Amino acid sequence: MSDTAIQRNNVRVFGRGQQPMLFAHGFGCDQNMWRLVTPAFEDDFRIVLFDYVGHGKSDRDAYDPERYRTLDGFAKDMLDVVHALDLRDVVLVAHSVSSMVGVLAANAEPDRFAQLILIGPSPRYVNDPPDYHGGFERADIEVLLAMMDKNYVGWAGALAPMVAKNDDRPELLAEMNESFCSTDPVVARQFAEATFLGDNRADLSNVRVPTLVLQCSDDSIAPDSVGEYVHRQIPGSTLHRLRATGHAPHLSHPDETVDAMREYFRGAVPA
Amino acid sequence: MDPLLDTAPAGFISFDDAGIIRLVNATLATLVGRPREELVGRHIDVLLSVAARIFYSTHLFPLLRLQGHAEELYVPILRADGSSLPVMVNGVSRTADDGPAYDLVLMPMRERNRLEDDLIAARNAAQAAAAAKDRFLSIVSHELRSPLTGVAGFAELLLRARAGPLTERQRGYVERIREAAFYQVGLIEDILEFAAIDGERRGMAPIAVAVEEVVARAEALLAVRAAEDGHTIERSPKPAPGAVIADARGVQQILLNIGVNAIKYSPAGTAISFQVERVSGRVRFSIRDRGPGIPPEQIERIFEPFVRLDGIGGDGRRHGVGLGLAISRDLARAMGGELRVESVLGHGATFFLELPAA
Repeated sequence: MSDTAIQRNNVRVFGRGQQPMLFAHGFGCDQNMWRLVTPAFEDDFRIVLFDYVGHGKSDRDAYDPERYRTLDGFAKDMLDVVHALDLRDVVLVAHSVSSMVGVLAANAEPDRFAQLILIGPSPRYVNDPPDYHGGFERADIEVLLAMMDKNYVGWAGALAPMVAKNDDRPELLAEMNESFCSTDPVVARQFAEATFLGDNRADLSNVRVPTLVLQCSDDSIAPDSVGEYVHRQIPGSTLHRLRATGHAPHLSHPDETVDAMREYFRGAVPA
Repeated sequence: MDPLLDTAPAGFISFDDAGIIRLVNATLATLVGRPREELVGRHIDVLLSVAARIFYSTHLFPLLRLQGHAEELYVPILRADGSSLPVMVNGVSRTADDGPAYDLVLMPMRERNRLEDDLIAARNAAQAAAAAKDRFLSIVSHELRSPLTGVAGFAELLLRARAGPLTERQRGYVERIREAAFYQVGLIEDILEFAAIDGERRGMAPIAVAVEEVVARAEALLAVRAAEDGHTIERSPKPAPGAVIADARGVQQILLNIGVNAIKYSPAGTAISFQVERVSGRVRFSIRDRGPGIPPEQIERIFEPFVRLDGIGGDGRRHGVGLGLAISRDLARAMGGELRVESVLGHGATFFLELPAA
């Protein structure tokens, strides 16, 4: 499996440094979402980008609904990439749900990872009263799933299967290649379920890798209290609050995101 | 703001990278039931339900930021009274003086939204029903087949006099039991095969297969059945040249299916023509019978599952469940080929199987 992960997960490697910096995209997007921040690290790191199976330009035929039912399957993708390139001393930069995928991967093979940079992490999106406030009710997630169903029916849903099957229609393929964050509708729905209905709170306290939590202001997906919770649960972690609002600071405020990471690297104790 | 924008029959909103609303037109303010002043300067979340906020953060914003545009997205927006208004969103990004800005047009789509909900519900129901049908067919068929193996097996033992000699009359009865059991096993296998094709394509491995090889084997198997009924098989050319890219077992099955049909529907003493020719990159097998033919309005229906043409001849002996041709066409198409029929009522029918030439 490891040998094929390079193609399967559409792995791209570039940069002039030695230490690998592995970027893991979140729900709804693909490796394209990192392109505003990777240039800042090209001189000092070996940048590794990948798409989870079913996302971006990964091999959609490799999608197995059983494997990706929970985040463990996504963690396997991440570790397959790590093994395929034999990455060690990895700085993992993970957005949103990938933060928990990264936690699972780092807990499975802590020796491979040097640092975890978690952007907008949440171990559980659905509230669990009285002590845990994830920010969402289950009913909200059901509405989200219905909404995705509708958007993918008219949008990616109509295009993706056609492109996959029609090699003799290059114009469709070209259109697909130009579109960002392309995700298979079936995959997207399952990823949404694995993401928003999962609970990885118990995994946080097992993290043994130095961790930076980047928390946005006014993040409606991962509220401040959740970032605070992640920070408290991961032993020795650092919490950095960004002025950037929203849930994707690497898209909306790439410079501030890069600065926060650099500041952490400067101050971080070598693993 | 351009006065035209305020009177346009669509909502318009512009916001910045941080999601802060910079502009809204009067139409949008009216649609959401809030004065314009209450919206400008607020975060776009004020217009989004909780679910829509997730969708905005994970889909809409990344698309606008990275791709520069997004089209035909369904988003339920939040009105001042807490109700939800379904809109279709088209958006573009542009560079404003102080950074990227995003301009969105919002079209209310209440009726269309209901229709889409119905369509999705219907699609989901159809998919669930099809899956349930396949599961049902598969389970029932297995359950039906197991006891029949016992019936046929024990009948066979009786016929071999394992439990003592049988009288002629007993032998006749047991033979009929055995035949009936075999017949039913055949039907069940058809159903199983069809369920398998429908549910999950069989693992077929198309390779180059010599035409003469498959044709000769099919002819040999059909010859027995044809002789029983006093038919002859006329085959040309002999040997058949060339090769096809196909799954040998699949081709065999199709030729036997249409061959047995031809024999079944032809009057005794007539000939079945079996020809092979090459037609622009494909090999065409044709099997012609001298039966009653197929009425024009039934031509395509005969390939539908569970459809049989009753009352137009046939020897009445083997009434299948009407899956043979459906299975055959599916198999042909799965191999990149096609199965079709031409017929003039009263003048027999010709089935054509075309497969890619090797």
